[in-house]
Amino acid sequence: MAERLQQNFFANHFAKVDKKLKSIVYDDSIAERLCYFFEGNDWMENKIEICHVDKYYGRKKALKNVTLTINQGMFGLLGRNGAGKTTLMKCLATLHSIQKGNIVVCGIPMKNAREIRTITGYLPQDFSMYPTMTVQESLDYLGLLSGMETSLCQKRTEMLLKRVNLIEHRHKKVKALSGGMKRRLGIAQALLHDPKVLIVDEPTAGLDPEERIRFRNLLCEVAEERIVILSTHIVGDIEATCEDIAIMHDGKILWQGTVSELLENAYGKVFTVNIDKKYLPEIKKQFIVTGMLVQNEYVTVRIISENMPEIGANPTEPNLEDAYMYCLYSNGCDVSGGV
Amino acid sequence: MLFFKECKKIIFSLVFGIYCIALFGVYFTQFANDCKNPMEKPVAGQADYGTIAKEVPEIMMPSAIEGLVNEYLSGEFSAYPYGFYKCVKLKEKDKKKLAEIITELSGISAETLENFDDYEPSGYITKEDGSFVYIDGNIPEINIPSTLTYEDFRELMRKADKIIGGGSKYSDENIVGNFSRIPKTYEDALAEYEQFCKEDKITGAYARLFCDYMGIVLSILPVFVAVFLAERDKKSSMEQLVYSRKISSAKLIFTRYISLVFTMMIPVCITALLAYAKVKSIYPDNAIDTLAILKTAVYWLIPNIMASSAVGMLVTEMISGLIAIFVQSAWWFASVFASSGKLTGSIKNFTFVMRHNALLGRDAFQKEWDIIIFNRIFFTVTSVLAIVLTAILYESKRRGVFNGFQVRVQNHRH
Repeated sequence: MAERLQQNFFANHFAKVDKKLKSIVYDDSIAERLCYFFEGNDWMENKIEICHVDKYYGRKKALKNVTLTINQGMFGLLGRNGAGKTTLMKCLATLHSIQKGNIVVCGIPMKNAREIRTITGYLPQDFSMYPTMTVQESLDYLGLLSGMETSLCQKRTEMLLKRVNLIEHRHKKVKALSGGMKRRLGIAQALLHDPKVLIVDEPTAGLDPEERIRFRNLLCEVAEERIVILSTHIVGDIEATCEDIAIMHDGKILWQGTVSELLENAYGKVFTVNIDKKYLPEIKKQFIVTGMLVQNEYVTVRIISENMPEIGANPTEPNLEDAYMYCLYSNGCDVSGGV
Repeated sequence: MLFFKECKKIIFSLVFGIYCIALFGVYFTQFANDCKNPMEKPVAGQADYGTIAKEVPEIMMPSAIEGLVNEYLSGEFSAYPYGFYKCVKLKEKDKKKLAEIITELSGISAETLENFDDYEPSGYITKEDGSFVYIDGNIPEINIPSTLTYEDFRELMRKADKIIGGGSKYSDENIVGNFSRIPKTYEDALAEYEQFCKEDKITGAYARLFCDYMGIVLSILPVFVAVFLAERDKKSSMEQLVYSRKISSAKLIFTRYISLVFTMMIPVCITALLAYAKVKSIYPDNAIDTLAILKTAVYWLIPNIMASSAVGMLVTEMISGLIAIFVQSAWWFASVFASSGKLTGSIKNFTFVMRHNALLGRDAFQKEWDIIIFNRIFFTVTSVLAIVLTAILYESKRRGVFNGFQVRVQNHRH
C-alpha cells in the first residue's frame, strides 16, 4: 500500500514537473536516463514519452531533437507536408529506427518493438489490402498476424465492422471498396487487437466532406479508452477532434499544448481589413494573409500581425488556422506563401 | 491457421496457376510421352540388345585415336567445358603440340597431317528413315605403335584433352562412354531387365525418369511463385500493415516459406500419382512399388523447390524480385547445361539439377547414392539458412534499419 502511495506521489509529481523538466534537459545522456527511469513505471502505462529523438535518412535529418509527451485521449500532430509527421508516426509504430534519444510507449522502450506492436494499432497514410481478399478475410488474416485467437478475432471483427459501418460489405472484395470505405476498414484493422495506442497518419486525405466528418467522429469515439495520435496537415481535422496538439516544422516540435493555449497565443494578432482589390498584392507583401473574401471591387482580408496595422484594420477572434499560422510565423518559419 | 491462410493465398494466385500448367505440361509432353510402351523382356536370339560402355583398351584405343585424327583434320573439336557445348578451334602453337601427340599415338607424321588434302569425315550419319549408318571417311592410315601401352595412351589422351581446353571426348570422364562401347549380350540385357523388374520394381526406374524431367522445371519455376508472394505485400500497399503487427519476423517468414514448399509440392504429388497410374496401366501384370515415384519425388525434388524458393525470397528481400528471378535463372541455366553432356551418372556434390534421363542404369545411380544424399542435404540445409537470413533482413526492414540495396542506391542518387 505504502509502495503504491509512493508511486502515485511520484507519478503526480513527475506529471506536474514533466514539462518544465524537459525544457531544461538538453543533455542527451540525462534525457535518455530520464526515459529509462520512465520505463516500466505504472504511471507511464497511459502515456507516450518521446525524449530528444533524432532520425536521419542518409545524411538528411528528418527528426531534430523531438521531445513530446502524449497522454490518453486524442492528440493532434499538425504540420506541413514534409514536416516529419509521418516519420515520427513510423518511429512510434516501431517501423523506423532512431539514431538518438528514446521513445517509451506506455512504459515499453522502443527496443522492445514486438511488445510495442502488441499494444499499438497503426493506420498508415497510404495503405491497401490484398485486393482479392474480402473485408472479412483481410481482418481475419491481420488478426492472425496480431496473434489473436480465431474466436476473439471473429467477435472483434463483427463488432468493429458494425462500428465502422462496413458490416453489410464484409463479403465484398477490398478492390471493390470506395476510398472512404477503405479508410474505415483501415481503422477497423488498426483497432482489431484492441490496442492501447492508435496511430493514425493523415486519415482524411482524399475523403469527401461527409466521410471526413464520419471518420473524425469515429476517432473521437475510440479515443475515450486509449491514446489516439492523429497526424494531419488539415487544421480542420485537429480543430474538430483534439484538445492536446503539437506543431511540427522541419523535423522539430515548434509548439506543444492545448488548442485553447494555441488560440490564446494568437489573441490580438489577427485582424480583418476591407481594402480595394488593387492593394491586395501590397497587403500580401506586408502581412501574413490567412483568408480573404472578395466582394466586387473590394476584398475583406484576414491578416496576422504582431501590432495593429495602420490601414484601418479591426482586431478579430483568431481561429485555429490563424493560430497555427501565427505559431509558424512567431517561430521564424517562412509563411510568405500564404493565401 | 496462418499456414492455411498463406497456402490459400498462394493457391488462388495467377502465378500458381501458371506454375501448375507448366508442371502438367512437362509431365504430359515429356514423361507421359516416354511411357507409351512397356519395356520388353529381351528374347534370346535378338539381333541387337544395344551397347554398353565398358573399358576395353582394344576397342577404345583405335576408336579414340581415329576420333582425334578426324577432329584434328576437320579443325574443330567438340567439348563441354563447365558442361556447356563448345566448338574449339586451336591456335597454331596448340595444333603443333597436338600433332606431336597424334604422331605418338597413330604413327602419322606431323607433315602428313599438315598436308593431307583429301580428308573426308567418318562417323555415323542419319538416314532419311531416321536410322544411323556408319560412313568410312578418308583419313591417313593409322598404325598404332606396338610400343604404345594403354597407360601411355591414356596419358597422351589426357594431354590432348588439356590442349583442347578440357571437357573433350578424350577426357577421363568421357573417353569410355565415347570410344569404348561394346554390344550387350542377351545375358547382360536380361540381367538389366531383371534388375528393372525386381530391384527397381519398375516404378523405381520410372521414378528416376519422372524426377529427371520434373527436376528441370522445379529448379526454376518456384522462384516465380516465391517472388510473387514476397512482393505481394508491397504490391498491395499492405507492407506497413503487416510490419506493424505483433507476429515475429521468423514465424511469418518460415510460415510463408513452408506454405510455398507445401503448395508447390501438391501438383508434384498429383503428377507423381498420375505417373504411377500411367506405369501401372502399361505394366498391368507386374508387381510394382506403389509409392516409389512419390518417395523419390520427396527426396529428389523438395530440395530443388526449397532452394529455388529460398533464392526467390532472400533476393527479393535483399534487392528485388526481378533480380531474384535473374539470379535463379542464371543458376538454373548453368546447372542444366553443366549436366547436358551426360544425362546419367554425372551427379556431383553440388549439382543443383540432378539428371538421370534413362529407365535403366540403376547401378550407376546407386554408385552415386552417397553423393546424392550429401547433395540433397546440402541444398536443404543451405535453403533453410537462406530463409534464416531472409527473416533477419525482414526484421531489419520492419524496424527501418535496412531498406534493401536498391533503395540505398536510389538514396545516393538523390
